[in-house]
Parts: sequence; C-alpha cells; structure tokens
Amino acid sequence: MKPFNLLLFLFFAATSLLLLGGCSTLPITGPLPDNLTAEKVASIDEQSPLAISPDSKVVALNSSGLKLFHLPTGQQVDVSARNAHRAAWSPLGYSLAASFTTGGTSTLVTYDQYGIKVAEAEVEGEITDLAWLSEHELLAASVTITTYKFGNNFKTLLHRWLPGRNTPTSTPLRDSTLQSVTVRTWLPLLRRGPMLDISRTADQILYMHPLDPPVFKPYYKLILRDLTNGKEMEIASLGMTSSGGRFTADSELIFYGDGAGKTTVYNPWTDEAVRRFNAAGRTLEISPAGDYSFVDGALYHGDTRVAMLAPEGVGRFTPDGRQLLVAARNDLYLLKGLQPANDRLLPVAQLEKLLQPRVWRLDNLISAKEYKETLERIKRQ
Amino acid sequence: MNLRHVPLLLAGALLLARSSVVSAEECIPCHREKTPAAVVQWEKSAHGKAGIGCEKCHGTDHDKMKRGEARVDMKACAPCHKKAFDSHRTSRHGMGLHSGWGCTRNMENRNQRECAFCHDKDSAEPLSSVQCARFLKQSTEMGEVGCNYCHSVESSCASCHTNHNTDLKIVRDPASCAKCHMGPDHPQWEMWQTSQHGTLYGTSGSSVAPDCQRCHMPQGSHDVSVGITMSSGGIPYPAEKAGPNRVEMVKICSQCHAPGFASRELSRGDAIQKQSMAIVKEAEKIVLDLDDRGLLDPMPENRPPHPLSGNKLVIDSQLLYEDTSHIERLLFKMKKYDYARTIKGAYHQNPAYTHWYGNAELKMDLVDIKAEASRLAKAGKGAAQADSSAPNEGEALRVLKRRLERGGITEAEYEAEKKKVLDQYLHGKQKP
Repeated sequence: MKPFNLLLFLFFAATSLLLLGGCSTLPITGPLPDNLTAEKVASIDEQSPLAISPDSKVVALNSSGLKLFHLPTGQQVDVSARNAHRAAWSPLGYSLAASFTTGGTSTLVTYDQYGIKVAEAEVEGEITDLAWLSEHELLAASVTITTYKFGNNFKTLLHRWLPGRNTPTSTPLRDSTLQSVTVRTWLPLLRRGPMLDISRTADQILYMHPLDPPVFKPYYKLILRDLTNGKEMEIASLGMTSSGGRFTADSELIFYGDGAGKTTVYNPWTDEAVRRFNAAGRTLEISPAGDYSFVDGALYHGDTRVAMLAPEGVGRFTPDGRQLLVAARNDLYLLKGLQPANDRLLPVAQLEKLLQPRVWRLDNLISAKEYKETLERIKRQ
Repeated sequence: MNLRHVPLLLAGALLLARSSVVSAEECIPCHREKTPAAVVQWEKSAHGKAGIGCEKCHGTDHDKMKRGEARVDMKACAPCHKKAFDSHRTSRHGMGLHSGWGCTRNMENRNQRECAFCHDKDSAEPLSSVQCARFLKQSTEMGEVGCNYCHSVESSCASCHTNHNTDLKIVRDPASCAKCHMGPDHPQWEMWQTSQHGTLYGTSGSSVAPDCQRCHMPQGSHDVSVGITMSSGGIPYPAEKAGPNRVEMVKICSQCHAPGFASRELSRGDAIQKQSMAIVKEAEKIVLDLDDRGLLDPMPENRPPHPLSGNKLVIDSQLLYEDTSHIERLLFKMKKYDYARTIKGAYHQNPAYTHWYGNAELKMDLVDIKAEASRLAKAGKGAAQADSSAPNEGEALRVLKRRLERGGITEAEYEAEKKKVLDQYLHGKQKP
C-alpha cells in the first residue's frame, strides 16, 4: 500500500472507530460536564417499560420479550416471551410486577427477583400504571374509553392485589365524558392513563384526570389523593401534553410540567411554588432527592439545564439517585456520575412524623401555615 | 214584547238559574237533603236568623263550590267582623300557619291538591313564607288532618267557631280549645282542667273560676297572645317585649288575685322555665358534641335529608322525630313534650304536669340522653380503635372543625384549640 493510501486508510479507520464509539454514547446535543459519562448499555424495544430494582442494579425492560437486565454485567435473563406494557419492582426488590394488555382487558403477572412467574390475574381495562404499596400488595391503574353517540366515557380504575392471596379488587378512580374530537385528537396521550406516581410511603398518589368542558380546550387536573381515606387535593390544571407530576422521595415536593413551557416545583402541604423553570414537562422524571430532573429529554440540575440528552427519550433515575437510564429510540443509555443531594430529603424519623399532618392538610383540618410551622418544629426536635 | 221570544227568554233564564245560585232559598231544598247538618245549623244560627244567606259567604258560583274551591276563609268573615279579624291577625293564632305549613312543590310524589293549602287559586304567592320541616315530612292526608286541622286557625274562623254555627256558647267553652291545645306537646287544656282553676270551674262554674278564654281572650278579644312572654317553643321573648306582656298578664290575674300574688306565681314559672331550659341546653350540647365527633347513629349525611336543611344536624324548632338518630328522638321528646309540659304546667299552676309529666320526664330524658351518648361514644371509640388511620389528634381536629362550622366556637378559639392539638401531637401534652 502506498503511503498516501495507507494514510487514507488510517484516517477512515480512525473516523469509523470514532463514529462507532459515538454510537455508544447518547445523541447529546451539548457537552456533558466533566463528572458525567454516558454509554449505551443495551438494545430495547420501543415503548419499553424501564423498571429499576431498589438496589439500582437490575432493569426490567422489553427486548424481544420481557427481560431482566443486570446493569453491572450486562447479562440478561428472559422473563416472558411477550413484551410487557408496564413493569414495577416491589420496595425491597423481591418481586417484579408486569402488565400485558390484550383488547379491553389486562393481565397482571408477578415474578420473583429471578424472573420466575409467581402469580397472575386479569383486570378490566388497559393497565397504564403499576406501583407496589408494600412488598406484598400491588396497585394498578387502568383506563377504559367507551364510545357513545354523544361522546366518550373515560374511566380510570384502581386495582389492589395481593398476588397469590386474592383476586384484585377494583374501585373507580374517576370518570368523565370526553367529546369525540378530543378523543380523536388526543387518544395516544389519553391512553397513557392517569400517569400515576406513588409516594415512597405508599399512602398517597398523584394522578392526572382529563376534563373536557364545552367551549374550552380539554385539559388535565393533577390530583393528590390519600389512599387511606380517599381525600383529594387539586394540585394544578395542566395541558394535554403534560406528563403529570412526580413526588420527591420524601413526598414533600411535587414536580409537574404544564406541557406548554413551565415546570413547577410545588410544595402541596405549604401551598408554595418552590421554583419554576422553563421546560414543558412533556416527559418528566425527577431524581429521588429532587435535585436532578429529566425534562423533555434534557438533564436539569436544579433549574439549570445540564445537557440535552435525547429529545424524544424516556428517562429513569436509579433509586440511589446516582445514575440515569435513558431510552432513546431502540437504545438504552446509562448516564453516570450524578451527585445526588440526599441530605435535602427529610430524615426518615421526621418524615414519619409528618405523615399525619399531611393527612390533616388533605382533610383541610390544618392550614398550610400550620403545616409549615409543624414542619419547622419537627425539624428542630 | 213579541210572544215568539218568550220561550227563548225562559230557556235563557233557566240556563242562568242552573249556572248560578242567587239566594239561600234556592240552596236549602237541595242541601236539606245533601248537607242536612249544615242547613239545620245555619237555620239556628245568628246568620240564619238575620237572613244572611249561603251566597254571602260561599259566593254564587255553584261549579266552584262543587270543585271544593269555595271554602269560607277569614276573608269572607272579615268585612262584617273586622274587630275580631284585626285582633286575630295580630295574635299567635293569626300566625298559626307559620309553624305548621311549608311548600311541598320540590318534594317527590306530592299531591297537586296540596297547593291549595297555601295558595289562592292561580296565585303563586304563598300565604306564608315560613316552612315547617315536620309538616313537609307528612303525606298529603296526614298534612291535612294532622297539621292543618289545627294550623288552619290562621285563616279560618271555622277552626274554632265551626262551620255553620254562630253560637258563642261553643267558642266560650274551653272544650273548643281542646281540639288543638291538648296531647303530649302542649296539653294546656288538661293542665287547666286538672288545676285548681279547672277544678273550681268544673264544680262551681265560670262565675267562680277562669277558663281559657277568660285569661287568654280577655273581654272577648281575639288576640290570644295577650300577656304571653315567650314563643310557642318556650323561648322567652326579649325583655322589651316580655315586660309589657307580663304587665298585661298580671292585670288579667289581678281581676281575681292580688297583683303581688300573681307576679310571684308567674315569676316562679319564669324560674322553672330557666331551670328547665338549662337541662335542655345540656342535652343539646351532648347531641351537638356527638355530631361534631361523627358519632350520631346514623349521622345526618347517612339518612334522608332534612326537608329544610339537608344533610345537617337540626336541633332547633325544626327538629324532626323521624328519619333521625335515637338520641335526637330523645331530644325531640325532651324539648317538644317534656320541656313544654314543665313550663306550661307551671304557668297553669298544675303541680302534676309541672313535676311528674314535665320536670321528672325532662330529667329522665337527660339520663337517657347521657346513657345513649355514652353508648355511642363507646361504639365510636371501638370503631376508631379498629381504624388505625384515625389517631386521636385527627379526631380532635375534625371535632374542632365541625364546631367551627356550626358556629359553636369562634375563629380565634378554633385557632387556639388547633394549636393545642398540634402541641399534643408533637410533644404528647395533655389533650384539650
């Protein structure tokens, strides 16, 4: 080979290597800060659930069937030949729940930590959300949309199930009538369901409910509900493209995007907007401590945008708050190097002492001011 | 006149005669058969003797009469009996409807005929704007017989005078009052009858002892409220109204008694009223507290709505005896029967009604109410213990909120009490 050709070969070889290497990183549109690294860790199917185990090591995902993916080693274990619609780990990580939807009904399946099937049950509607209330009890939300001449009935159900011990019990969460044009326009987003988020103490949920008043545009109500007494608090009215709200790990704050351009960090107990930043919140995840957020494909630290990672991506923070999984197209990326400010969270003892005043706030028995004073006194104790 | 027109005129006259009644003479032949009692009573009455015919009171529209729309109310009597009408209108009898009737139009399965209870034909204007929850709970028939037969006194002279009699002997007899003023809620007739006044009246006649009319309708007045110092529910009037009324009553008593004696006796009644009201208030407080704590069984929100107040606890004059909790039914008996008997018994100088039918029952009611409250509290405590999500402080906050909502405490008291509860929660201090 002539020297020039050799140089040309080496140039193309180096370029190809760089390009190949580039494929293993996120489609980042800006530089990552020095402490952050990103790498592709697996291939996944579109619309895959991303359920990360409590020890932040195992991800349940779809890759030609439901699989358990071991993050440190890259090993995969087959769980089901079918792709799951949703998946969630139990609080201690001994059980995995997954939902499979066929027609108007869904199948709930639980597996042990190794992916061995334990129990199965059928419920009405299309399961849109899964969460564990305890190591033994599963909460699921489902949606049914029934079309009538005058419009559509949009109904959400909550199902509680003790796998292997009983059949699921279902209670209506909410229902409303939606105009035909609303369902035609927003069906893919409506089928996301109530976008339920559950507090770590499993006593409260955040969910969205669509409303379609005549003359006005359809919108979502973001609602905080106490699961023990059914008391509710309306948090905000949001656009149809919003992906709802998320609790911080101590449930003291709620993040929600309006779907239009503003994301708000709100304390529902003191009725204070803690901060707002410019992001629509069409996809929204927050880190357990609430210091990082993944909004519309970008990573934020506080209200500062760190990097645009994947505009169409779906993100999940690991429970330890140190890593972020991002699913973009058919690839799963792992962003490492996050430094969570876990000291921001209320200590467990203080959190436990606050649970009751929060119920009182929901029941309108104490004011926001009284809650705030109680919080300060608990912190001083 | 052309003779050809005679049959036509006769036919016209006959038609006119069929469609209208022009004088008593024309009514009597038929009604002697159809309503003989009315005819006989009218013939013997002052009206009959003075030639005041049927049409003077009933009008001339026979079709209307047949439809039952020509009943004689007070407006028919008023032009001739103006003085009686005027004094009646200002008296408690003139407001009889105010405690007995109410609009049923929004209630289910009501009989359209009921509208005539309160409205003139084709008039949306009610004769009374005040409603009565107990009336509104009744069937049409019960409302008519059980309520209106007495409360129609507001607009019907016949309520006391009867329909076609005008003999004053009837209405001057205490028995004419007994139709309404007897029974468990206000047995004034029995009280009077078994008091010394009534005993003397029974043995020696009206020249020796007073009857109802002598004291309450003095000198033929139709104002039966003369000298009364409290509402029909036994709530004392304000001093500016009660004071002059008391002077009036002492004057009436003083026709037979020394004024000092009369004042003293009535003052004793006042004292008994206050003592009895204190017992009622204690019972009311217990029931309100149970409602605050969500312990009534059933709670107002779990039973048919009160006709006037919906799913709220009602213990005022609109208290019900049906679709209520057992303890409220006890309170109803206490207030409507036993409190009323105690105080009315005292003012009528009847020892048995004041004490045994009144005071003793009133106090035993309180015993029953306390026992029922205790049972409800224990049942509620058991439920609260079974429900671990309802700790004591939450319950205390709920009770305070209900107290504030019913006006039992001020906003400032509410804030202060809440602070105590939160202190208790944070530091385990003594509960308020």
